[in-house]
Amino acid sequence: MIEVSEDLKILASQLTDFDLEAYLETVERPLPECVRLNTLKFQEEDVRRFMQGRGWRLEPIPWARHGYRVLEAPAASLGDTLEHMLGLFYLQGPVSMLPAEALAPEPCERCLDLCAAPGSKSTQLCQLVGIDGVVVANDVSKTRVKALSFNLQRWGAVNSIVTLADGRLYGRWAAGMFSKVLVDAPCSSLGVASKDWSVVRRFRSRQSKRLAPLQLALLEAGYKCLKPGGAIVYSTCTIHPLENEAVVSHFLERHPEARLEPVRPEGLRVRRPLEEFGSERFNPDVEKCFKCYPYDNGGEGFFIAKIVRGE
Amino acid sequence: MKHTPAKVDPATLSKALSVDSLPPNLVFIESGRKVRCVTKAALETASTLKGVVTMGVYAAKRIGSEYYFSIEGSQLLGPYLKERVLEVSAGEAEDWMRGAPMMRTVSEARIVVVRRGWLFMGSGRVSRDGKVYPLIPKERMIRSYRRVDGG
Repeated sequence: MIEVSEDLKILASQLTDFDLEAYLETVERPLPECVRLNTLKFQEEDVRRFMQGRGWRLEPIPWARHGYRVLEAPAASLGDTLEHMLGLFYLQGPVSMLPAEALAPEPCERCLDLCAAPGSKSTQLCQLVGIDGVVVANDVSKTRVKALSFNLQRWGAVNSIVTLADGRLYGRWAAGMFSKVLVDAPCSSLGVASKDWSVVRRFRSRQSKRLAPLQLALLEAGYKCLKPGGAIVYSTCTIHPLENEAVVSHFLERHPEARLEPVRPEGLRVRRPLEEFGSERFNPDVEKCFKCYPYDNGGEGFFIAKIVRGE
Repeated sequence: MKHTPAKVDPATLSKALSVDSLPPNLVFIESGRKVRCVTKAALETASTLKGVVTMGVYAAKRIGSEYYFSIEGSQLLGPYLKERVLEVSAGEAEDWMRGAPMMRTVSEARIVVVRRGWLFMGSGRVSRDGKVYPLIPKERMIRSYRRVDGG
């Protein structure tokens, strides 16, 4: 039985559409095993055939190109297989493949992943922009940058650059440089508690209050790095409105020229974002954002906003 | 950074690596004994950024006058290799990725590249005892024991 913090119980009572019991039941189970095949180094069909020949059974994920649900595998630990070690696939949660897909980078584009470590979404961007595109993967932590570099190496990402910097300062030296930016912001991680139950026990509301200004600053910095007409995706793997709807709403207040685009992936249950929380009423455009709780799709809980920079 | 990175002349590098040619649109940069491989576009972008830690992938390392390939280096350059390629069976491929040496008769070459069909799996060092030892970092090796029931 997972121990639940008092603050989470209070939050659950404030969120009228949230079912704490269903949430706990879902996060008690491990996330469904999913992989994303490497199309940067190999042909997808070759990889699929090779894996099938070795006893893998895969089912495509409708909302993620190259993403597959693993129905059967030749080893108990997918990370300890020949295919994983050789970089044929990346282990990634099914909903976590959505932010990069929502960003929809075109081949040849230059993308920035502002909070990149450990690199799941960066590697995904690398394969989506292809060999003629460029992905700059940044992180603020030296330790996490090591993991990021390791994963990009395994992915064979010859089109990637790793930088170590505070993402909030990026807008100063890379203003207007990118056509696509991903801000997968640090968050309270309540949507991925299946990976670490202590998140549920340790959650404090003040944590979300503290994170919200940082998240907004990162979104601002990422937006500055965009060319006019470029798009930014802001995502978190949490359910707290202060880190989600509130951040996007504040951002829209400051940037009337910015335009929210709806994120409506095929095959996923989408929840309507909140219109208000506490005493705060959000910008009505926030309803275009994607939101789901872990029990909605039997995966992670995520919040995703896609914003297009005005001229 | 310990060494100043420098672009490598493709003709010199192809000769040193024993490859027919190098993949187009890629730039090879030598820093100390390591060779990294990056796209032209990424290299141009990196020159305008601050705080760059790495770019592209680590492809090869020089030992004396010879080069050995990283796993990614072998996957990038393997198809261009003229010689020094060892084809392995499915079982050998698994053992190789567990770090087990292979018994093979190899003429002359001291460094070889191992592959299973289209899948290149890094380099190996040919020892005097006739075994080929994998030059694969520990963190890229399969850790679990092999099942003995043939599955």
